[in-house]
Amino acid sequence: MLDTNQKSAADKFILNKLDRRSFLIAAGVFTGSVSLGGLLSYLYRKYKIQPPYSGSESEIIRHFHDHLFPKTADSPSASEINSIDYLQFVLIDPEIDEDNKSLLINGVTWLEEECQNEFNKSFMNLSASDKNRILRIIEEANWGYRYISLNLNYILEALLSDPIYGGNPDEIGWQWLGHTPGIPRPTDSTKYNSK
Amino acid sequence: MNYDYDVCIVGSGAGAAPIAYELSKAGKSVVVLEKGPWYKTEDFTKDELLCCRRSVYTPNLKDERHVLENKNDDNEWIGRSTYDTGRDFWNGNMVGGSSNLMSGYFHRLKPEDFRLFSEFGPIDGANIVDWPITYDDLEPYYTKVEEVVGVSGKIVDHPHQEPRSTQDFPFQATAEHPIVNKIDEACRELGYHSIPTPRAILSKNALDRKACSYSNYCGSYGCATDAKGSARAALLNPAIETGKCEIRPHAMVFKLESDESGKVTTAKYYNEQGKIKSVSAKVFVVACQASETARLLLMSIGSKHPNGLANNNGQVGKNLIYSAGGSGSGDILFKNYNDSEIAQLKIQGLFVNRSLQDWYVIDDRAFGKRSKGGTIDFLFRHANPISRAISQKWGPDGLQWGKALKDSIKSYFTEGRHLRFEIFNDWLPTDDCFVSLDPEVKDKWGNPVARLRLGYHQHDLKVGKYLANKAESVLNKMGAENIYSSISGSPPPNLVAGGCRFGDDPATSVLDKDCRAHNVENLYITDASFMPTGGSVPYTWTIYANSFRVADIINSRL
Ligand SMILES: Cc1cc2nc3c(=O)[nH]c(=O)nc-3n(C[C@H](O)[C@H](O)[C@H](O)COP(=O)(O)OP(=O)(O)OC[C@H]3O[C@@H](n4cnc5c(N)ncnc54)[C@H](O)[C@@H]3O)c2cc1C
Ligand code: SF4
Repeated sequence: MLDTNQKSAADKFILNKLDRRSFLIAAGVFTGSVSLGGLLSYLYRKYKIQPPYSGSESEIIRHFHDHLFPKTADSPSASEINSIDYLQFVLIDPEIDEDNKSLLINGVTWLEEECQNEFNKSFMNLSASDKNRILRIIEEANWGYRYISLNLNYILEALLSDPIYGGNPDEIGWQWLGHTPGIPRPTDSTKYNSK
Repeated sequence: MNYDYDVCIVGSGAGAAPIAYELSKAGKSVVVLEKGPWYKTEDFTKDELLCCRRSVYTPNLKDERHVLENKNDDNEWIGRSTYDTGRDFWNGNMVGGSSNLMSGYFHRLKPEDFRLFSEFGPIDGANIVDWPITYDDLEPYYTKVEEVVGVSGKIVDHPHQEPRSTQDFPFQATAEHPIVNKIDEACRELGYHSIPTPRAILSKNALDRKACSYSNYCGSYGCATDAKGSARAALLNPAIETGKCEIRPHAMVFKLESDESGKVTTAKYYNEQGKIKSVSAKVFVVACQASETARLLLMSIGSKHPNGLANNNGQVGKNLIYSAGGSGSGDILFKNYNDSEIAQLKIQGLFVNRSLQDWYVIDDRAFGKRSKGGTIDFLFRHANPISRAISQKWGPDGLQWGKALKDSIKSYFTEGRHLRFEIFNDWLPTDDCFVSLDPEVKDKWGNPVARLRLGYHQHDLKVGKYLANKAESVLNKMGAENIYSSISGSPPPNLVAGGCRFGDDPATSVLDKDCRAHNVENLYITDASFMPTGGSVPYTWTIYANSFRVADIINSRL
């Protein structure tokens, strides 16, 4: 209490439905030994590209993010706030929870698998209402709830964090909401992970 | 015997800094061991990502965590690590501790808080006791904090104004947001006495520090002007200037070693490289914030202290308390106001600074017998845009996205202001709220982490709800909409006390009335651990005041 912003601290790890341990067990996917490094090098080998995401995965994520956060008459889309670049910034940060990183990397494959099972199509080729349908379906699964929730968090971070982190270009997010940033703003020598 | 220092202080926050300040000014040699880094004023920015969305000011939970015990549906206590749940119980891990991050809402305790037992009698299941000192013993030190740390405010007459040795605050109140006029008006109509909330914030340049810039990002953020009365800006910086005080950051103390007589001889700590170092001193002072203080004592086994330092009567860690109560809010919607009023409401940065203490003692038949009540503080919802936007991701049917999410965010940010209130009442000490060492979970250095049992007394909720009702009536009178409140037994991690309470009887307390351990001649504890009951206000003013009191005691023995 006392103006502490504890809600967001709790939100660092999406705890609203499940805690970490029950998620890992329920998902039955991670053994705890799957490290991001392992996943990254796997991706590296598989796609012979720079991790974390391959070109096609980036495309799927772009569609996914723009569906979660679409352009409207007065507001930018996820693409316009560089949400995917922002996600890369998150994925290379050693301080970010490894399980969350693994989920961000695996989730795109699982989302595609669900779309193929349900509609025989890639997420990218679904109509808006089918995109909603598939997201409501995966929301029922533990991993799906967490995956959507985490992506929303990072999209909103990209929208409203200081532009120094690569999102919120030209303060477009702040302008949309009439938000005034606090002074002093972060600089290259004071920003997150500068030390 | 030769000592490295006269005084070794573990921790560097609100409980620690008055000791460093007073003793170094008195010419004693002082070393402060702080586990966190040393940020300087120029490092502090208004960067929500760094402050509040990543673990920068607090340890990463993969390295250091707590185990929290809560009751499940079968009434069993189940412990889960904060790494597993994401429920972070760290506050400020840096030179100056959490006082760097506080909002500086400052209230003194009142005379009846020092004698809760004799004033209001026992309550079944609660370990209520009177304090071994009175308000009069602490009053001069509350005044000292006003002057040295810098507390701004304005005294107005109200039924529960505590006695003061000076007429008014040394610093005039900080500038106020126009919404206070609406709060005052509503309170007048309801027959309540709204009072300006004292703040540990300088309203003008003074004490070698700058005035508040009304940055709009105060709580959870470090202060870039030093107006906030953090332990670092107000006390440690002047202590260093004496040339007698040395601060060692990245010094995680894991053991206080004691000799055959039971006295503490050395503090052992890990430095930044993980190497073990030690410091000897004549007197040791511990102020790691209540639960970590108890943990350090429990880890410090010695030949005279087989159950942990100062724990021969099994009292260390017991009677842990938090600030009980909760919070609520109401929306002040622009659609109900004219253009000039809207322009006023939109002003950012100025403080709301209004409190109600009309029910500090509840004397109301509808409630029951005369009881201790509490404090209501009003404030705007935190300005942090990312967390505010994220709070909108939950819609009526689960997560929401797309247009629905965008509409919620837009309306939340642009259609009004969110006026909040916070309730502070006593968290009664019980046998179900205490600190122990977890038998399994370790920190990154291999030491057992603190295991916190977090039980509360039903009476706390009854009082909290009574106060929340009163606060809601003010919002109602103001014409706020969507009014709600939430009173629960969920403890606020940043407002913690007890665990090493002081008292006259060694069988039921850890410290004597000087805050010295009953059976450790040279060990003092000066964070909020000493408090047997917490009062119905946030603790920091009392922590500072008591630490100044103990500084005088230590100074007179050295
Ligand atoms: C966001 C926020 C807002 C707040 N707002 C208010 C407010 O408005 N009003 C109010 O009265 N209070 C407020 N508080 C609470 C206030 O900050 C605390 O009451 C006060 O700082 C407690 O003082 P302390 O000395 O016990 O702990 P701290 O100030 O936290 O200092 C403890 C220090 O000990 C260090 N430490 C712990 N263990 C070890 C170890 N083993 N070895 C070495 N060092 C160690 C920690 O890293 C820390 O720096 C707020 C707190 C927060 C986090
Ligand atoms: S400048 Fe004022 S509002 Fe900003 S952090 Fe410092 S005390 Fe708080």
